[in-house]
Amino acid sequence: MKSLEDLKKLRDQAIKTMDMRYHNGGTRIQIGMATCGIAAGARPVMNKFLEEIASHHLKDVIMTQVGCMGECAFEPIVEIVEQDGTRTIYAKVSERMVAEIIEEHLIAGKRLERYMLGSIKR
Amino acid sequence: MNDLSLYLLDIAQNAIAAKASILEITLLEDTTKNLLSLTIKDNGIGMSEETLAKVTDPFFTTRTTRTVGLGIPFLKMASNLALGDLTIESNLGMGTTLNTYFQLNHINTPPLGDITETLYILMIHPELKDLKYSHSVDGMSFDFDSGTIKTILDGVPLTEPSIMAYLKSYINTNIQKLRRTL
Repeated sequence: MKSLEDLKKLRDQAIKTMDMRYHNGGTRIQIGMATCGIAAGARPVMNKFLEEIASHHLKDVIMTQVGCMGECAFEPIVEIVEQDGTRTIYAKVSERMVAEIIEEHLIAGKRLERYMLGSIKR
Repeated sequence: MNDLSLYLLDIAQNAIAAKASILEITLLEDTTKNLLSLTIKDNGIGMSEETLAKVTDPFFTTRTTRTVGLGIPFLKMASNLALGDLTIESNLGMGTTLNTYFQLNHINTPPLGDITETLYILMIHPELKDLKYSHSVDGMSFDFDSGTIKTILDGVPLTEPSIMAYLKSYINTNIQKLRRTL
């Protein structure tokens, strides 16, 4: 059985390189993780977000799991809440859209109109 | 839903919505008894007898954003299709325990799916302080406790890239090893 003995070492290494400025003032990514979200594929999408956040070394981004907002047919739904309170809701988010959302919206600061709930529902 | 790991995530989200801080997941695979059993125990607010009687009804839900609640009815139906069942024990203020079982080799039994991904996503949920997981296959078992992991990490987030990769590989490797004989 693989043991946890290396975890302590990894932790000590991580703390040296880690930016300790974790705070709540950054961008929050909310993903619907109720029955409708899960059935539509929210779990792999969330996983992809976590991987992309890690690989781009984004420090002020937190990912949270939320319930259902009542638009079940448009799940997986991802809401991005920026520091200034700006909210963007992306609907029918697939794994392949995640890298684009991270690079365009979070890094370059350009909202992806075509993936937004308002554009899709029309 | 396609696999058991997704049902597990769904039921666990119910527990979190019921203000659970500790979740105990027990997964049992027994070839001699031809049994696959999943138990999810939480320390949330629990349910009254009246609520409990209604939770397997798809037209009952506590949520306010829509009028149907499909999580538990879906899982009950899936287990019934594999000659199993689903039962829930709960009391107000005493938490809830849900058990569901399937015939291990039944053609309708859903595959386990990516348990690692479900466990990791639950572990990083800020409301859930402790996730205990116990998985046994024909007498051999793999147990882990996110509380122990958090103690070792001592403030370093579970989402730190190297830690995330390590934990996923730790859980995945152990589950794969355990299930080799199946």
